[in-house]
Amino acid sequence: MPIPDNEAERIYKAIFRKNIPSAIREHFRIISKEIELRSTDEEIEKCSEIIKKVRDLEALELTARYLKRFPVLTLKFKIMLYLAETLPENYHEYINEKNGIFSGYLLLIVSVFRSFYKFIKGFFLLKGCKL
Amino acid sequence: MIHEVIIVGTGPSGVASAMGFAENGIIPLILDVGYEPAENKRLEQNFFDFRKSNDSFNMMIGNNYEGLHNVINEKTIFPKLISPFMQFVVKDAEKLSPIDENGFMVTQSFAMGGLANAWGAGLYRCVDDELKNIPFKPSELSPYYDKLTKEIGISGDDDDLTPFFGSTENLLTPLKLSKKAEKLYLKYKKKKTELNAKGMYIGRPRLGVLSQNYYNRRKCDYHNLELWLPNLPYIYNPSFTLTELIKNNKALYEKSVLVKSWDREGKVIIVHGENIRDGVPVSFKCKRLVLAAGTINSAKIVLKSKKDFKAKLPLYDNIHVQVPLIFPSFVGSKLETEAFGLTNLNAVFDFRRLNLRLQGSILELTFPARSIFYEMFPFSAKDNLAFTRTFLPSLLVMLLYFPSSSENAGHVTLRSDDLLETYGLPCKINRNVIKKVTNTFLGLGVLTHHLLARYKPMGYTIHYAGTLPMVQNPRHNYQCNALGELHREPGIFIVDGSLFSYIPAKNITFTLMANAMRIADHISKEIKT
Repeated sequence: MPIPDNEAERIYKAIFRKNIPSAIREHFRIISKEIELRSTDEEIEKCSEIIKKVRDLEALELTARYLKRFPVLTLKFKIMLYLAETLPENYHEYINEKNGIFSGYLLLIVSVFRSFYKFIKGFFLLKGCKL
Repeated sequence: MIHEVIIVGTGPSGVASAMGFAENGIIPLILDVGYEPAENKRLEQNFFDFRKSNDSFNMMIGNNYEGLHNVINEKTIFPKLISPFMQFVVKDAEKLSPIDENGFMVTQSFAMGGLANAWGAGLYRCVDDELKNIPFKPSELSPYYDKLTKEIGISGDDDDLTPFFGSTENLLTPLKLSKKAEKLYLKYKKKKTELNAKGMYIGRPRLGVLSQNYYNRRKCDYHNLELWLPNLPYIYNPSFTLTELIKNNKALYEKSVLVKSWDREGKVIIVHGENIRDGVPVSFKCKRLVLAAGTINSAKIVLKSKKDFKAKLPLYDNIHVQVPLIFPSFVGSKLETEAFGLTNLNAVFDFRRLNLRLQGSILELTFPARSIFYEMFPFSAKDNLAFTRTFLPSLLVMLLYFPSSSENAGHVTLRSDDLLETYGLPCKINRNVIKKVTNTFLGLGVLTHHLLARYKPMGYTIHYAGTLPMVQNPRHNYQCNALGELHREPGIFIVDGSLFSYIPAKNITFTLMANAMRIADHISKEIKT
């Protein structure tokens, strides 16, 4: 099952809200082939299908992770996070460079509520994509 | 040529025994597969600073995507083995010594220096009550501990942990503490009477890490590379001593040899192996064979030599629990990129009523690949990143070790097709003990809870021991005497973790090294007379 060209693009955008650099796209393509060898055709096909169909992949991945559905999608998210970390432009996404206890707590509270919302949204998305 | 002594393996025990022989003027032949790093990469700046302005794909993932093996294979591996530069440590392990793991995970190394290439460099003396079941006086190890302390360069301090970690003679000054560790230590000092009454003691670790320049080795530069690059001069590696011994003609070294078994021609021991470069069988002759191939591989060589495919040899490891320590005032703070990435502090929990002593190594979470922490949090990808960035700077993690026990022991057997099988059952841990530990920390202004503790599988700590235990009066084929000589096998000596049927709640590498040196000393005296 060939990997759709825009798969890397969509996962990267779901996490970082920006376009994927070409080097990361290429690395992702190579590793995806490796994952493909270790997964069943059905798993790959389903994963490609939802990546194509669903707009909010971040929400879908969260719910799928909890419900243990589409492990290949979660794996691809993880790999994208590892790859993206190597770019200096993403350094600030992973590492805090400034002190800010108030903004820190605020961000954590917002993130918890945001994830709760994403989980509910992902649940309906999962129901809707009928895979 | 018949060698007086052949040593198999170049891990801490093998190299310590070679030192023992060299001190007595005996030149051993050392056989080893001896993989070395593909590249001795160096970085003259802090790793985090480098990443801010450079594409670090080669440093973090590697050209062959080695840094992603743990993710792709969905395998639990020791954090230090994630770096692409550390892959030589476990290179070909599955090919050279395949293992079927059943509840007891195994990490093997065929690298020069063995698994010490990936260690946390904790070098703790065992105190008398921790050396249970050994058939000699614990004090016999003291002179060897002293010699090794000088050779290695160990940092540490004379503090509340001295009664648990032994003599402080010749220690180098301790390393710099991270901000959180310093805060914790100060609070402990203020409340120590109360905490000591509860059985808790905190102090500086004993590490084979240089806080000052030592002979030709450079001190720690706090560049955060200790979990990423091999053979850093400030972290001791047995290969440093081995290289010196070879250079000074105090040891012979034959690389690329995988030792498989031995047999005998009269009084001569024939060591059989394979040259791993071309697969050609090789053999060497000696009068005495010293096995230091590691607890599991030494057992394999013994079982194979005896063609015993039924015996079940005991296998021990420390039970390991990871406890997060949260410092609320550090949430949202800048990551302390210059903090030392291995143990900053040790905590000992001496619960006398329970007759139980635990030890915790308290680490900073400055691990360079932050993606590894992604799965720690249960949120969406973007929110997990926010937690990685904002919450992790407020965390220390304590690696809590329990002593080995017979109820948590595994075993190892060799199959006729050369495959080793390890077996272990899920660890039995008294959760009330974990509760007791976490409650003690609450008094130090640290947030933690026993439900946050993570239980690692058997074998995770790589502190394997006990396959060929030494006892006062060996009775069966897989026991050794006080000098490490295998029962009914004159001239076959074991010097690694196989000999210890009990592991206290600490890394016992230093004790294995001291014991290997002690045995080499005895063998040398026997040779001389």
